[in-house]
Amino acid sequence: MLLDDLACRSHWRGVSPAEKLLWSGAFLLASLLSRHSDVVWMLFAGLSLWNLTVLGHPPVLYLRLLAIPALFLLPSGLVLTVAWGETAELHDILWQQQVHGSWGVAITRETLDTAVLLVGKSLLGFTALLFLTLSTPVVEMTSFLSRHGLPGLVTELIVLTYRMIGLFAATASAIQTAQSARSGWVSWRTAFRSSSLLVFNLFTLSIHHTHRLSRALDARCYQGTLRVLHRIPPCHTVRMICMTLICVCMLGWVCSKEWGHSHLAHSHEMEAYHD
Amino acid sequence: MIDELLRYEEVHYSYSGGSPALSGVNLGITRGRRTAILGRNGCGKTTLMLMGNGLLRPQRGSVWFDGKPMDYSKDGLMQVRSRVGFIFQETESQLFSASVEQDVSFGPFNLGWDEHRVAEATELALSQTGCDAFRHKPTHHLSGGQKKRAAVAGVVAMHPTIILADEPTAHLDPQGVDDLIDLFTTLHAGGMTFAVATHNLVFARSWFDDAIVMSEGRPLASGPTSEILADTNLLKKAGLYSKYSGE
Ligand SMILES: Nc1ncnc2c1ncn2[C@@H]1O[C@H](COP(=O)(O)OP(=O)(O)O)[C@@H](O)[C@H]1O
Ligand SMILES: [Mg+2]
Repeated sequence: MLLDDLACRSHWRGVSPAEKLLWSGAFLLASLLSRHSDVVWMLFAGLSLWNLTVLGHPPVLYLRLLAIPALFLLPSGLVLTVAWGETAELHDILWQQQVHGSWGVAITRETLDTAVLLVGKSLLGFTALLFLTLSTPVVEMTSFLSRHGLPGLVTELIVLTYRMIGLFAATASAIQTAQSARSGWVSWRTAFRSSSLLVFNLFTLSIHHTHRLSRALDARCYQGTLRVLHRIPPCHTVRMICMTLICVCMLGWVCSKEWGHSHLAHSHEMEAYHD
Repeated sequence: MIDELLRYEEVHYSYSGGSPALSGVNLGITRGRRTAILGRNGCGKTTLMLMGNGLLRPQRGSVWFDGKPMDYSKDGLMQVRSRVGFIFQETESQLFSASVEQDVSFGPFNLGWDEHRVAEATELALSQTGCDAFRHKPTHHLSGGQKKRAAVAGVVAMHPTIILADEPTAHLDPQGVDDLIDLFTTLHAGGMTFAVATHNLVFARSWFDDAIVMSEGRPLASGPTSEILADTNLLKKAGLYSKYSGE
């Protein structure tokens, strides 16, 4: 819900979802294709800068959103940097610790590179999606998708789920306030009790809500399909062309770097072979 | 002859496993007039109103709309519901869509109108009800008063003959109540019939032509609002009298 609030207030609210999809898709693709951590981190920095300047959200908020995946990624990144095994068989060792005989843990240039690359790729992918969610309200996205061939049932489900999440968030915070007012959250024990009560209440409330919703839909002659007006911001041709060009250039650059490196590596190998 | 738009004949209704919610209701809602349905919590106002839109079916007795007994087939209900707008007490459950504009366009689409006509009706309803300013907002970002207006817009867009509103002023602040009454006044001036359940006697006194007082599932009295509300004994009997109201 917070994301949707932000999307509604973003400076890019009026830009067509097609352009935004293209933009975020291109970066997502780049994050998938690229196998060089310098490229990935550069793109990540660029896109973050873009998100911060173009969308007009408070930087602190943006960083806090980024911190969520970062918190999950850092531990797994740390695990990846450490290699287990016969330390004698590892190359480019930066740090090592013998555990038992020749067995031990070590950080090598390779494991470090892999970890940095994977964390970078995940962050880049996340930022690409973040750009989309922070600039496009759910309403516009579903309208756009349903106009371009997403089955009606799927969009209806998304819309209803979205509406339910909104209601849930409101109800949960109302119940929580009511519980706090009666000191339901002062200690861990009461907090646990309160939260289980909250979940139970939400469950019963959602059944009630579903019942009332279907009655309300019937009152307005519901016939089995939720048809509503869709309003999608139009495409801006010049901007679309510019964005496409930038995306193509970026992907081209990523690919050439990929190809260039492997070509180089290949020729090195060839030289080694000839020697 | 009185032109009755809605008529209840000996209507009985009990919810499953409960005591009777309506027991022998006989009353009429006159076309073009504003009727208040008064009564304390649990007296059966909501049940009565739901029957006016065919959402509940009497277990005994019958409901008549525009001179014909209610037809509970799919097409019959469509006919009735396209002309009877219902404003629910819990606005939350009435608004289902992600944005106000989308929500308002839902009813008109169900009437089988083409997109152009739906867009026109939506536009008109949004401006009539003063929802223009927040038409693109998600419905959960609205204030209570705005939600009510959005719900009214969703009904008005279908061009109904009568609006049934269930305790529309509940949960609204005084300004919100005033805005809503102003909106109802405009709609009434355009020829809309109103039947409104409420226990807000100030609202009842100032706005309605007729009043029906309900108690324990049946009407105690009905007539012009000025006469009904002057009868202190009646109000006491119906549990509507408050010694703090200063009247
Ligand atoms: N869904 C339901 N299930 C069981 N009993 C109900 C239900 N809805 C209402 N009732 C009962 O029916 C009676 C009339 O309720 P209602 O029509 O909602 O009254 P009002 O709107 O005047 O407060 C009350 O006694 C209430 O407890
Ligand atoms: Mg009620």
